[in-house]
Amino acid sequence: MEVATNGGYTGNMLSDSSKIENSYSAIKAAVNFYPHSKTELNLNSDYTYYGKMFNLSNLLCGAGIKYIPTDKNSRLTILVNAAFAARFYRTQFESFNNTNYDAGLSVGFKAEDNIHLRTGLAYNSLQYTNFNGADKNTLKLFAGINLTLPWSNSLDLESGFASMGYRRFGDTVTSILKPLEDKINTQESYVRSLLVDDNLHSIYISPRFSRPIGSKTGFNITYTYRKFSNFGDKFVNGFSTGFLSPWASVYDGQAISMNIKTLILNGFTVTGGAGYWDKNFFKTVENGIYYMVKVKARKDSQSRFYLNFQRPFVLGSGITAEPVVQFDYTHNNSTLTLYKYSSLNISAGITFRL
Amino acid sequence: MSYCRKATSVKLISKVTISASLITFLALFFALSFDLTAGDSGVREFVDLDGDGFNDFPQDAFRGDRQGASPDSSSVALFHVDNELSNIPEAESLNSSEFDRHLFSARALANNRCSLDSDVGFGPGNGIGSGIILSGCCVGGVCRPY
Repeated sequence: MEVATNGGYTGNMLSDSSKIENSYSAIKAAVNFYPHSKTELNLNSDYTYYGKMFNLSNLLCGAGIKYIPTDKNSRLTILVNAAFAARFYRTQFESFNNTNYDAGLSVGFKAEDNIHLRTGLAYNSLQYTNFNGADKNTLKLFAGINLTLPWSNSLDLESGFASMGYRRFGDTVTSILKPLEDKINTQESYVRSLLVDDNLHSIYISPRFSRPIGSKTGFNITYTYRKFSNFGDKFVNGFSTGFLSPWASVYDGQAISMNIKTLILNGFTVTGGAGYWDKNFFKTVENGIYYMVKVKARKDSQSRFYLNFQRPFVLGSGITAEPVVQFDYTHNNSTLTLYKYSSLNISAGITFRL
Repeated sequence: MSYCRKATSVKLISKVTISASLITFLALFFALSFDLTAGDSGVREFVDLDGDGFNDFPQDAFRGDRQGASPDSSSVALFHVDNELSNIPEAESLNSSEFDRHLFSARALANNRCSLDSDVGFGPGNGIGSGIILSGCCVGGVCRPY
Protein backbone atom coordinates (compact mmCIF):
# COMPACT_ATOMS: atom_id res chain seq x y z
CA MET A 1 0.00 0.00 0.00
CA GLU A 2 1.25 3.47 -0.83
CA VAL A 3 0.15 6.95 0.16
CA ALA A 4 1.84 10.00 -1.32
CA THR A 5 1.33 13.69 -0.98
CA ASN A 6 3.09 16.60 -2.61
CA GLY A 7 2.77 20.30 -3.06
CA GLY A 8 4.45 22.77 -5.29
CA TYR A 9 4.58 25.93 -7.26
CA THR A 10 4.54 26.32 -11.02
CA GLY A 11 5.50 29.50 -12.78
CA ASN A 12 3.55 28.53 -15.87
CA MET A 13 0.67 26.23 -15.28
CA LEU A 14 -0.58 25.90 -18.84
CA SER A 15 2.86 25.83 -20.50
CA ASP A 16 2.11 28.78 -22.76
CA SER A 17 2.77 32.50 -22.91
CA SER A 18 -0.09 33.28 -20.50
CA LYS A 19 2.40 32.41 -17.72
CA ILE A 20 -0.31 31.67 -15.21
CA GLU A 21 1.37 31.00 -11.88
CA ASN A 22 -0.22 28.57 -9.52
CA SER A 23 0.34 26.51 -6.43
CA TYR A 24 -0.99 23.02 -6.15
CA SER A 25 -1.16 20.08 -3.82
CA ALA A 26 -1.95 16.48 -4.50
CA ILE A 27 -2.59 13.29 -2.62
CA LYS A 28 -2.42 9.78 -3.99
CA ALA A 29 -3.31 6.41 -2.58
CA ALA A 30 -2.50 3.09 -4.22
CA VAL A 31 -3.00 -0.49 -3.17
CA ASN A 32 -1.21 -3.42 -4.77
CA PHE A 33 -2.43 -7.00 -4.48
CA TYR A 34 -0.31 -10.04 -5.25
CA PRO A 35 -2.58 -13.06 -5.69
CA HIS A 36 0.55 -14.99 -6.59
CA SER A 37 4.17 -14.25 -7.25
CA LYS A 38 3.78 -13.46 -10.93
CA THR A 39 0.80 -11.12 -10.81
CA GLU A 40 0.32 -7.62 -9.48
CA LEU A 41 -3.09 -5.98 -9.28
CA ASN A 42 -3.20 -2.26 -8.64
CA LEU A 43 -5.91 0.17 -7.55
CA ASN A 44 -5.07 3.83 -7.34
CA SER A 45 -6.58 7.22 -6.96
CA ASP A 46 -5.25 10.75 -6.72
CA TYR A 47 -6.70 14.18 -6.22
CA THR A 48 -4.97 17.38 -7.34
CA TYR A 49 -6.01 20.73 -5.94
CA TYR A 50 -5.04 24.03 -7.54
CA GLY A 51 -4.84 27.23 -5.53
CA LYS A 52 -5.69 29.94 -8.08
CA MET A 53 -7.53 27.90 -10.71
CA PHE A 54 -9.60 25.91 -8.28
CA ASN A 55 -11.92 24.65 -11.01
CA LEU A 56 -9.09 22.73 -12.64
CA SER A 57 -8.81 20.53 -9.55
CA ASN A 58 -9.39 16.96 -10.57
CA LEU A 59 -9.70 13.37 -9.43
CA LEU A 60 -8.11 10.34 -11.05
CA CYS A 61 -9.15 6.74 -10.43
CA GLY A 62 -7.36 3.82 -11.98
CA ALA A 63 -6.70 0.12 -11.92
CA GLY A 64 -4.07 -2.06 -13.52
CA ILE A 65 -2.60 -5.52 -13.79
CA LYS A 66 0.88 -6.81 -14.56
CA TYR A 67 1.54 -10.46 -15.26
CA ILE A 68 4.94 -12.04 -15.80
CA PRO A 69 4.42 -15.70 -16.70
CA THR A 70 8.11 -16.53 -17.14
CA ASP A 71 10.60 -17.57 -14.50
CA LYS A 72 12.86 -14.85 -13.15
CA ASN A 73 16.01 -16.77 -14.09
CA SER A 74 14.79 -17.72 -17.55
CA ARG A 75 16.43 -16.37 -20.71
CA LEU A 76 12.93 -15.54 -21.94
CA THR A 77 10.90 -12.86 -20.18
CA ILE A 78 7.30 -11.99 -20.97
CA LEU A 79 5.43 -9.04 -19.50
CA VAL A 80 1.69 -8.56 -19.95
CA ASN A 81 0.10 -5.39 -18.65
CA ALA A 82 -3.24 -3.63 -18.78
CA ALA A 83 -4.50 -0.47 -17.10
CA PHE A 84 -7.52 1.75 -16.90
CA ALA A 85 -7.63 5.35 -15.68
CA ALA A 86 -10.39 7.94 -15.58
CA ARG A 87 -9.89 11.60 -14.77
CA PHE A 88 -12.71 13.86 -13.64
CA TYR A 89 -12.67 17.66 -13.55
CA ARG A 90 -15.10 20.04 -11.90
CA THR A 91 -18.19 21.16 -13.82
CA GLN A 92 -16.59 24.18 -15.47
CA PHE A 93 -13.87 22.03 -17.04
CA GLU A 94 -15.69 18.76 -17.48
CA SER A 95 -14.90 18.78 -21.19
CA PHE A 96 -11.42 17.63 -20.07
CA ASN A 97 -12.83 14.46 -18.47
CA ASN A 98 -11.14 11.50 -20.05
CA THR A 99 -10.60 7.78 -19.79
CA ASN A 100 -7.50 5.85 -20.79
CA TYR A 101 -7.29 2.16 -21.60
CA ASP A 102 -3.84 0.62 -21.91
CA ALA A 103 -2.68 -2.86 -22.80
CA GLY A 104 0.73 -4.23 -23.64
CA LEU A 105 2.67 -7.38 -24.37
CA SER A 106 6.48 -7.39 -24.28
CA VAL A 107 8.97 -10.19 -24.80
CA GLY A 108 12.65 -10.12 -23.86
CA PHE A 109 15.37 -12.65 -24.62
CA LYS A 110 18.86 -12.88 -23.19
CA ALA A 111 20.98 -14.11 -26.11
CA GLU A 112 24.20 -13.74 -24.10
CA ASP A 113 25.07 -12.12 -20.80
CA ASN A 114 25.94 -8.98 -22.73
CA ILE A 115 23.27 -9.14 -25.44
CA HIS A 116 19.59 -8.65 -24.59
CA LEU A 117 16.87 -8.51 -27.24
CA ARG A 118 13.33 -7.27 -26.77
CA THR A 119 10.16 -6.61 -28.72
CA GLY A 120 6.59 -5.76 -27.90
CA LEU A 121 3.38 -4.01 -28.68
CA ALA A 122 1.30 -1.53 -26.73
CA TYR A 123 -2.18 -0.16 -27.21
CA ASN A 124 -3.66 3.02 -25.77
CA SER A 125 -7.13 4.40 -26.17
CA LEU A 126 -7.80 7.93 -24.94
CA GLN A 127 -11.46 8.92 -24.90
CA TYR A 128 -12.81 12.32 -23.91
CA THR A 129 -16.15 11.84 -22.23
CA ASN A 130 -17.62 15.25 -23.07
CA PHE A 131 -15.71 16.36 -26.12
CA ASN A 132 -15.75 15.15 -29.68
CA GLY A 133 -12.72 15.28 -31.93
CA ALA A 134 -9.78 14.64 -29.59
CA ASP A 135 -10.02 10.89 -29.01
CA LYS A 136 -6.99 8.81 -29.98
CA ASN A 137 -6.40 5.10 -30.42
CA THR A 138 -2.74 4.22 -30.73
CA LEU A 139 -1.03 0.93 -31.50
CA LYS A 140 2.72 0.84 -30.99
CA LEU A 141 5.29 -1.79 -31.93
CA PHE A 142 8.90 -1.70 -30.82
CA ALA A 143 12.07 -3.78 -30.95
CA GLY A 144 15.40 -3.19 -29.29
CA ILE A 145 18.81 -4.59 -28.51
CA ASN A 146 20.94 -3.92 -25.44
CA LEU A 147 24.68 -4.48 -25.75
CA THR A 148 27.30 -4.34 -23.05
CA LEU A 149 30.52 -2.99 -24.49
CA PRO A 150 34.00 -3.21 -22.96
CA TRP A 151 34.77 -1.15 -19.84
CA SER A 152 31.18 -1.12 -18.54
CA ASN A 153 29.77 0.82 -21.45
CA SER A 154 26.24 0.02 -22.50
CA LEU A 155 24.56 0.70 -25.82
CA ASP A 156 20.81 0.31 -26.21
CA LEU A 157 19.23 0.71 -29.63
CA GLU A 158 15.46 0.78 -30.06
CA SER A 159 13.24 1.33 -33.05
CA GLY A 160 9.54 1.10 -33.66
CA PHE A 161 6.36 1.96 -35.47
CA ALA A 162 3.09 3.46 -34.26
CA SER A 163 -0.28 4.03 -35.82
CA MET A 164 -2.73 6.47 -34.26
CA GLY A 165 -6.38 6.64 -35.21
CA TYR A 166 -7.79 10.15 -34.69
CA ARG A 167 -10.20 12.70 -36.12
CA ARG A 168 -9.13 15.74 -38.09
CA PHE A 169 -10.66 18.38 -40.30
CA GLY A 170 -11.39 17.26 -43.83
CA ASP A 171 -9.11 18.32 -46.66
CA THR A 172 -11.78 20.57 -48.13
CA VAL A 173 -12.01 22.67 -44.96
CA THR A 174 -9.87 25.76 -45.43
CA SER A 175 -11.24 28.11 -42.80
CA ILE A 176 -13.41 28.19 -39.70
CA LEU A 177 -15.11 31.39 -38.69
CA LYS A 178 -14.83 32.71 -35.20
CA PRO A 179 -18.18 31.97 -33.47
CA LEU A 180 -20.45 34.58 -31.97
CA GLU A 181 -20.71 34.25 -28.19
CA ASP A 182 -24.38 33.28 -28.29
CA LYS A 183 -23.89 30.73 -31.04
CA ILE A 184 -20.94 28.79 -29.68
CA ASN A 185 -22.91 25.55 -29.26
CA THR A 186 -24.23 25.70 -32.80
CA GLN A 187 -20.77 26.45 -34.09
CA GLU A 188 -19.24 23.56 -32.14
CA SER A 189 -21.67 21.05 -33.58
CA TYR A 190 -20.93 22.46 -37.02
CA VAL A 191 -17.20 22.07 -36.39
CA ARG A 192 -17.69 18.44 -35.35
CA SER A 193 -19.49 17.76 -38.60
CA LEU A 194 -16.32 18.77 -40.47
CA LEU A 195 -14.20 16.07 -38.83
CA VAL A 196 -13.12 12.92 -40.65
CA ASP A 197 -11.31 9.77 -39.45
CA ASP A 198 -7.64 9.35 -40.28
CA ASN A 199 -4.53 7.40 -39.25
CA LEU A 200 -1.19 8.91 -38.35
CA HIS A 201 1.86 6.72 -38.90
CA SER A 202 5.07 7.17 -36.99
CA ILE A 203 8.51 5.57 -37.04
CA TYR A 204 11.35 6.21 -34.63
CA ILE A 205 14.89 5.17 -33.87
CA SER A 206 16.57 5.84 -30.56
CA PRO A 207 20.11 4.90 -29.49
CA ARG A 208 21.05 5.27 -25.82
CA PHE A 209 24.49 5.16 -24.33
CA SER A 210 24.97 4.63 -20.61
CA ARG A 211 27.73 3.81 -18.20
CA PRO A 212 28.79 4.26 -14.58
CA ILE A 213 30.97 7.20 -13.59
CA GLY A 214 32.73 5.95 -10.52
CA SER A 215 31.05 3.46 -8.24
CA LYS A 216 28.10 5.59 -7.15
CA THR A 217 27.08 7.51 -10.25
CA GLY A 218 25.37 6.52 -13.45
CA PHE A 219 25.08 8.46 -16.67
CA ASN A 220 23.11 8.16 -19.88
CA ILE A 221 22.63 10.08 -23.09
CA THR A 222 19.72 9.31 -25.41
CA TYR A 223 18.98 10.46 -28.92
CA THR A 224 15.57 10.02 -30.53
CA TYR A 225 14.50 10.67 -34.10
CA ARG A 226 10.78 10.39 -34.77
CA LYS A 227 9.10 10.94 -38.13
CA PHE A 228 5.39 11.12 -38.86
CA SER A 229 3.96 10.38 -42.27
CA ASN A 230 0.67 11.75 -43.68
CA PHE A 231 0.99 14.59 -41.17
CA GLY A 232 2.07 17.84 -42.83
CA ASP A 233 -1.11 19.56 -43.93
CA LYS A 234 -3.54 17.98 -41.48
CA PHE A 235 -5.15 20.00 -38.75
CA VAL A 236 -7.06 18.90 -35.71
CA ASN A 237 -9.63 20.17 -33.27
CA GLY A 238 -8.12 21.13 -29.93
CA PHE A 239 -9.70 22.85 -26.99
CA SER A 240 -6.87 23.96 -24.82
CA THR A 241 -3.18 24.78 -24.80
CA GLY A 242 -0.11 23.35 -23.13
CA PHE A 243 -0.30 20.38 -20.86
CA LEU A 244 -4.09 20.15 -21.04
CA SER A 245 -4.14 19.83 -24.80
CA PRO A 246 -4.82 16.36 -26.19
CA TRP A 247 -2.26 17.11 -28.91
CA ALA A 248 0.60 18.27 -26.69
CA SER A 249 2.03 14.75 -26.56
CA VAL A 250 1.94 14.14 -30.32
CA TYR A 251 4.91 15.53 -32.23
CA ASP A 252 7.80 14.42 -34.39
CA GLY A 253 11.37 15.70 -34.62
CA GLN A 254 14.65 15.08 -32.88
CA ALA A 255 15.48 14.93 -29.20
CA ILE A 256 18.61 14.50 -27.16
CA SER A 257 18.68 14.15 -23.41
CA MET A 258 21.25 13.41 -20.75
CA ASN A 259 20.64 12.14 -17.23
CA ILE A 260 22.85 11.57 -14.22
CA LYS A 261 21.93 9.58 -11.11
CA THR A 262 24.23 9.59 -8.14
CA LEU A 263 24.38 8.12 -4.65
CA ILE A 264 27.41 10.10 -3.53
CA LEU A 265 25.42 12.04 -0.93
CA ASN A 266 25.00 9.59 1.90
CA GLY A 267 21.51 8.09 1.78
CA PHE A 268 20.31 10.39 -0.97
CA THR A 269 19.50 9.53 -4.54
CA VAL A 270 20.12 12.60 -6.66
CA THR A 271 19.06 12.67 -10.29
CA GLY A 272 19.48 15.46 -12.76
CA GLY A 273 19.21 15.96 -16.46
CA ALA A 274 19.21 18.26 -19.43
CA GLY A 275 17.40 17.80 -22.70
CA TYR A 276 16.72 19.48 -26.02
CA TRP A 277 13.77 18.80 -28.32
CA ASP A 278 12.75 19.88 -31.79
CA LYS A 279 8.99 19.40 -32.01
CA ASN A 280 6.65 19.59 -34.98
CA PHE A 281 3.03 19.57 -33.90
CA PHE A 282 -0.28 19.13 -35.62
CA LYS A 283 -1.85 22.30 -36.87
CA THR A 284 -4.47 22.78 -34.18
CA VAL A 285 -7.65 24.82 -34.12
CA GLU A 286 -7.68 25.84 -30.49
CA ASN A 287 -11.28 26.24 -29.57
CA GLY A 288 -11.95 28.79 -26.87
CA ILE A 289 -8.46 30.24 -27.02
CA TYR A 290 -8.49 31.56 -30.53
CA TYR A 291 -10.81 30.14 -33.09
CA MET A 292 -8.61 30.70 -36.07
CA VAL A 293 -9.58 31.48 -39.59
CA LYS A 294 -6.12 30.44 -40.76
CA VAL A 295 -4.26 27.66 -38.95
CA LYS A 296 -0.51 28.09 -38.70
CA ALA A 297 2.06 25.35 -38.30
CA ARG A 298 3.60 25.00 -34.85
CA LYS A 299 7.29 24.15 -34.52
CA ASP A 300 8.94 24.33 -31.10
CA SER A 301 12.47 24.04 -29.84
CA GLN A 302 12.58 23.27 -26.17
CA SER A 303 15.30 23.00 -23.51
CA ARG A 304 14.66 21.44 -20.13
CA PHE A 305 16.69 20.93 -16.97
CA TYR A 306 15.73 19.14 -13.79
CA LEU A 307 17.17 18.19 -10.44
CA ASN A 308 15.67 15.73 -8.04
CA PHE A 309 16.58 14.74 -4.47
CA GLN A 310 15.15 11.64 -2.77
CA ARG A 311 15.93 10.15 0.62
CA PRO A 312 14.31 6.96 1.88
CA PHE A 313 13.77 6.35 5.60
CA VAL A 314 12.63 3.28 7.49
CA LEU A 315 10.03 4.20 10.07
CA GLY A 316 9.64 0.72 11.54
CA SER A 317 6.83 -1.84 11.32
CA GLY A 318 7.61 -2.24 7.64
CA ILE A 319 6.75 1.36 6.80
CA THR A 320 9.12 3.36 4.65
CA ALA A 321 9.04 7.05 3.84
CA GLU A 322 10.56 8.78 0.81
CA PRO A 323 10.71 12.55 0.85
CA VAL A 324 11.47 14.16 -2.48
CA VAL A 325 12.29 17.67 -3.64
CA GLN A 326 12.40 18.51 -7.32
CA PHE A 327 13.19 21.47 -9.55
CA ASP A 328 12.34 21.69 -13.23
CA TYR A 329 13.08 24.52 -15.66
CA THR A 330 11.75 24.70 -19.23
CA HIS A 331 12.50 27.19 -21.97
CA ASN A 332 10.37 26.93 -25.09
CA ASN A 333 10.64 28.73 -28.42
CA SER A 334 7.90 28.39 -31.00
CA THR A 335 6.75 29.63 -34.37
CA LEU A 336 3.51 30.57 -32.57
CA THR A 337 3.79 33.46 -30.12
CA LEU A 338 1.40 31.69 -27.78
CA TYR A 339 4.00 28.99 -27.11
CA LYS A 340 7.04 31.16 -26.44
CA TYR A 341 7.48 30.68 -22.73
CA SER A 342 9.67 29.63 -19.88
CA SER A 343 8.65 27.89 -16.72
CA LEU A 344 10.12 27.07 -13.33
CA ASN A 345 8.47 24.40 -11.20
CA ILE A 346 9.37 23.48 -7.65
CA SER A 347 7.73 20.75 -5.64
CA ALA A 348 8.21 18.71 -2.52
CA GLY A 349 6.46 15.62 -1.31
CA ILE A 350 6.63 12.43 0.65
CA THR A 351 5.58 8.88 -0.09
CA PHE A 352 4.77 6.32 2.59
CA ARG A 353 4.81 2.61 1.79
CA LEU A 354 3.56 -0.24 3.88
CA MET B 1 34.39 49.79 -33.95
CA SER B 2 34.10 49.33 -30.19
CA TYR B 3 30.86 47.40 -30.78
CA CYS B 4 32.71 44.93 -33.07
CA ARG B 5 35.49 44.55 -30.48
CA LYS B 6 32.91 43.91 -27.75
CA ALA B 7 31.08 41.32 -29.88
CA THR B 8 34.37 39.54 -30.62
CA SER B 9 35.24 39.49 -26.93
CA VAL B 10 31.84 38.04 -26.03
CA LYS B 11 32.23 35.30 -28.66
CA LEU B 12 35.73 34.51 -27.38
CA ILE B 13 34.54 34.33 -23.77
CA SER B 14 31.66 32.05 -24.82
CA LYS B 15 34.01 29.70 -26.66
CA VAL B 16 36.44 29.61 -23.74
CA THR B 17 33.60 28.93 -21.29
CA ILE B 18 32.16 26.12 -23.41
CA SER B 19 35.61 24.59 -23.97
CA ALA B 20 36.47 24.80 -20.26
CA SER B 21 33.14 23.17 -19.33
CA LEU B 22 33.70 20.35 -21.80
CA ILE B 23 37.26 19.74 -20.63
CA THR B 24 36.15 19.76 -16.97
CA PHE B 25 33.33 17.33 -17.73
CA LEU B 26 35.57 14.96 -19.68
CA ALA B 27 38.28 15.12 -17.01
CA LEU B 28 35.73 14.29 -14.30
CA PHE B 29 34.20 11.58 -16.48
CA PHE B 30 37.48 9.73 -16.99
CA ALA B 31 38.87 10.39 -13.51
CA LEU B 32 35.78 8.95 -11.87
CA SER B 33 35.66 6.08 -14.32
CA PHE B 34 39.00 4.78 -13.03
CA ASP B 35 37.38 4.36 -9.63
CA LEU B 36 35.19 1.67 -11.17
CA THR B 37 38.01 -0.75 -11.70
CA ALA B 38 40.04 0.32 -8.68
CA GLY B 39 38.28 -2.00 -6.24
CA ASP B 40 38.36 -5.77 -5.74
CA SER B 41 39.09 -7.76 -8.86
CA GLY B 42 38.32 -4.90 -11.19
CA VAL B 43 36.40 -7.28 -13.43
CA ARG B 44 32.63 -7.31 -13.00
CA GLU B 45 29.83 -8.59 -15.12
CA PHE B 46 27.98 -5.51 -16.20
CA VAL B 47 24.64 -4.96 -17.87
CA ASP B 48 22.53 -1.82 -17.82
CA LEU B 49 19.00 -2.59 -18.97
CA ASP B 50 17.22 0.54 -17.79
CA GLY B 51 19.87 3.06 -18.82
CA ASP B 52 20.57 4.58 -15.42
CA GLY B 53 24.26 3.64 -15.62
CA PHE B 54 24.06 1.22 -12.66
CA ASN B 55 24.70 -2.46 -12.91
CA ASP B 56 21.58 -4.59 -13.42
CA PHE B 57 23.42 -7.89 -13.62
CA PRO B 58 21.01 -10.29 -11.93
CA GLN B 59 23.61 -12.19 -9.93
CA ASP B 60 24.89 -8.97 -8.45
CA ALA B 61 21.41 -7.81 -7.70
CA PHE B 62 20.43 -11.01 -5.96
CA ARG B 63 23.65 -11.16 -3.98
CA GLY B 64 22.89 -7.66 -2.88
CA ASP B 65 26.34 -6.29 -3.58
CA ARG B 66 25.24 -3.37 -5.60
CA GLN B 67 27.87 -0.74 -5.15
CA GLY B 68 26.86 2.45 -3.47
CA ALA B 69 23.89 1.11 -1.54
CA SER B 70 23.86 3.05 1.65
CA PRO B 71 24.13 0.70 4.63
CA ASP B 72 21.43 2.35 6.66
CA SER B 73 18.75 2.27 3.98
CA SER B 74 16.34 -0.60 3.84
CA SER B 75 16.36 -2.84 0.84
CA VAL B 76 12.69 -2.15 0.26
CA ALA B 77 13.17 1.60 0.23
CA LEU B 78 16.12 1.33 -2.11
CA PHE B 79 14.17 -0.84 -4.44
CA HIS B 80 11.43 1.72 -4.74
CA VAL B 81 13.76 4.69 -5.07
CA ASP B 82 16.07 3.13 -7.59
CA ASN B 83 13.91 0.33 -8.88
CA GLU B 84 16.86 -1.86 -8.02
CA LEU B 85 16.59 -5.16 -6.23
CA SER B 86 19.67 -4.43 -4.14
CA ASN B 87 19.41 -6.19 -0.79
CA ILE B 88 16.06 -7.95 -0.87
CA PRO B 89 16.80 -11.24 0.93
CA GLU B 90 16.52 -14.41 -1.13
CA ALA B 91 14.69 -16.05 1.75
CA GLU B 92 11.90 -13.50 1.52
CA SER B 93 8.97 -15.51 0.26
CA LEU B 94 6.21 -12.91 0.11
CA ASN B 95 4.39 -12.76 -3.21
CA SER B 96 5.22 -9.06 -3.47
CA SER B 97 8.97 -9.67 -3.10
CA GLU B 98 8.85 -12.50 -5.58
CA PHE B 99 6.97 -10.26 -8.00
CA ASP B 100 9.61 -7.55 -7.56
CA ARG B 101 12.23 -10.08 -8.65
CA HIS B 102 10.19 -10.99 -11.71
CA LEU B 103 9.66 -7.34 -12.52
CA PHE B 104 13.38 -6.74 -12.17
CA SER B 105 14.04 -9.28 -14.89
CA ALA B 106 11.48 -7.46 -17.08
CA ARG B 107 12.75 -3.96 -16.44
CA ALA B 108 13.98 -3.37 -19.99
CA LEU B 109 10.52 -4.28 -21.27
CA ALA B 110 8.70 -1.78 -19.08
CA ASN B 111 10.88 1.14 -20.19
CA ASN B 112 10.33 1.23 -23.94
CA ARG B 113 10.49 4.53 -25.82
CA CYS B 114 7.63 3.97 -28.26
CA SER B 115 5.43 6.81 -27.06
CA LEU B 116 4.44 9.44 -29.63
CA ASP B 117 6.49 12.03 -27.79
CA SER B 118 10.09 11.98 -26.60
CA ASP B 119 9.97 13.51 -23.15
CA VAL B 120 7.94 10.91 -21.28
CA GLY B 121 10.14 9.74 -18.46
CA PHE B 122 12.41 12.77 -18.60
CA GLY B 123 12.47 14.52 -15.24
CA PRO B 124 9.44 15.35 -13.17
CA GLY B 125 7.38 16.81 -16.01
CA ASN B 126 5.75 20.16 -15.38
CA GLY B 127 5.17 19.21 -11.78
CA ILE B 128 1.40 19.19 -11.98
CA GLY B 129 0.19 15.74 -11.21
CA SER B 130 2.68 14.24 -13.59
CA GLY B 131 5.74 14.29 -11.40
CA ILE B 132 7.69 11.37 -10.04
CA ILE B 133 5.54 11.03 -6.95
CA LEU B 134 2.30 10.90 -8.87
CA SER B 135 3.66 9.21 -11.94
CA GLY B 136 1.35 7.06 -13.94
CA CYS B 137 -1.45 9.51 -14.48
CA CYS B 138 -2.93 11.21 -17.50
CA VAL B 139 -3.14 14.99 -17.60
CA GLY B 140 -5.00 16.15 -20.67
CA GLY B 141 -3.79 13.75 -23.28
CA VAL B 142 -0.37 13.28 -21.74
CA CYS B 143 -0.09 9.94 -19.98
CA ARG B 144 2.68 8.30 -18.05
CA PRO B 145 2.64 4.56 -17.64
CA TYR B 146 2.42 2.92 -14.23
